[in-house]
Amino acid sequence: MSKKYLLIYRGPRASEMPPHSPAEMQKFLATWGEWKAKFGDRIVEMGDALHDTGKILSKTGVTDGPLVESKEVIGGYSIVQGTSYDDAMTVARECPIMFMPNSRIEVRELMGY
Amino acid sequence: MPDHVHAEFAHRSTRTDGVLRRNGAARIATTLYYCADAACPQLAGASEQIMSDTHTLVENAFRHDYGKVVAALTKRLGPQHLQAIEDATQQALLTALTAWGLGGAPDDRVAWLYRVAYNRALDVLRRDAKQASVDDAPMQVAAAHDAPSFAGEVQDDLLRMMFLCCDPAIPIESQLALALKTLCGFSTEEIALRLFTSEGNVLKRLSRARDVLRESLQLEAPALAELLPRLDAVHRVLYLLFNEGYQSAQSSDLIRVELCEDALRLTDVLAAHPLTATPETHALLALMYLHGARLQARIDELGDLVLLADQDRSRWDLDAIAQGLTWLNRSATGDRMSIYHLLAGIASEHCLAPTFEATRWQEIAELYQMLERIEPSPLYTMNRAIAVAQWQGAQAGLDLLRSVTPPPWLARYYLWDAVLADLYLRCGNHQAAAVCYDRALQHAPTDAERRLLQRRRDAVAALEPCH
Repeated sequence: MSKKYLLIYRGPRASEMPPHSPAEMQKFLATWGEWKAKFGDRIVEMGDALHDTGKILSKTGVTDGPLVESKEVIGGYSIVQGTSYDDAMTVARECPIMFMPNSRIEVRELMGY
Repeated sequence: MPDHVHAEFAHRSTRTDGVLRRNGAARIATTLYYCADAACPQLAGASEQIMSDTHTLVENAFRHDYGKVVAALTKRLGPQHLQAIEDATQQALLTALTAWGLGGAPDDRVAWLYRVAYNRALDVLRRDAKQASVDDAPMQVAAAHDAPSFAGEVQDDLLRMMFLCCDPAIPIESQLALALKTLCGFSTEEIALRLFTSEGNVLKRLSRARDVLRESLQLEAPALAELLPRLDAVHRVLYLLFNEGYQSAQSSDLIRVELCEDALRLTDVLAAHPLTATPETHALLALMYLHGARLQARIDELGDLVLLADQDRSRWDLDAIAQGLTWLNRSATGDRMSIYHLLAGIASEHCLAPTFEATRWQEIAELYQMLERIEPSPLYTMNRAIAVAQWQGAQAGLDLLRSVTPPPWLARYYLWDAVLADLYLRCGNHQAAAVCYDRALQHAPTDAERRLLQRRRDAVAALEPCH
């Protein structure tokens, strides 16, 4: 039975990334399309990118977060499906995020399915 | 030629250095006949790409976006903040990598990037201002509607940026580096590759340029009309840009095509604006089209260079020639005859000639002589000598060339020796020809050029009596 997995993209803010030439970045952007084409039936939702600042709400109040000092932020997410973690990993492993500097993907199975 | 033009060129020549000497107007002239027409290898199909290939446009989209965003932000925040603007634009592109990858690219990419970059630049400038406890940064957060959303407005920003790059206080080689960085979106490494210099050198040139911008303009970017006196300098930089692509001794065809294409794109922007659509702008555009038309005929199926005399003229791009002639026609107004008029005129003679032999060499020789009067250069003389050799015989050409003492910076310029060798050969002096080919071979910058020279050298050896 197919299960769903949330891919959480973690990495540095854009301001902390080493510079790349626009031409290189253009090529990189194209790799998303290749990923989508290769795993089209496995990607349930492409998801979205996140702004790197936001709010954190707790009982004691609202703070800005994540902190500007934090080295790693959640940059975006996608949802994929597969029969097992291993299966989901094969999709995640080729995700363009894995080729961005100092970035990694947290893979978490969704419980409701 | 009006006096102020003379003064302009005199002024330029006083600070001429390697870049201008090697890449200046005189150099492109060489392309028309001899090796420099051969000096652009691996360009099969290039002219179609230059003129119309949308694939290339897509590939360059990020570079072009970069240029547009930097230009728009420079207008908004002022050229003194160029470094912060470029950093912010770089970060906006990095942000787009994930955002567009996941969510899809927005309809108006430039507006999207502009908003992200503007807010980032603002953060940085505010922080810097706070650190310096100066409160003179009159800035507001960009709302969505602040982004320049009309294509025309972005083009105007781009235009203004060209003029800022051509600040007379910035040395010409720094102007060129700055244009490649800010207008074309090349990295320092990519610029180094294109200008034949080290990355360190590019960084130095760029920081010199930014220093000038920081000091010369403390307030907002000046209006385009105030910058118009710099139009000559803008033409010069666009011309150098095209020239780098057209005939610099680069090995990769893609690199060359990109530069020619960018120069053409930016010159198009000039030609589209009423303030900058001058006869010279039109002549420059004509020149680019007429040269571009012949790019693909310059190499054979084996990737070797083909001299103008041997080129298959049916491979020249007729559409590009037609475009070039249209612009040349349009340039024929006013009382100023610029080097671009003359160079485009020469290029059109070639494009219209049915064969190499049936070229109107006398007209071409005269056009070169006019060029020499505007901007004296032994390289124009060299090209005239080639034309004279066709018109009045090899001996007349050789006599003319030998009447010139090449300045020291030409001593290692392989084309000079190559042309001399050709003329000696045609006059039957095989020994002198062999000596000159050997010297040219020593200094030929690319394999393709060496192969071409070697072929000719071998032909001479076959003619020489055995010792």
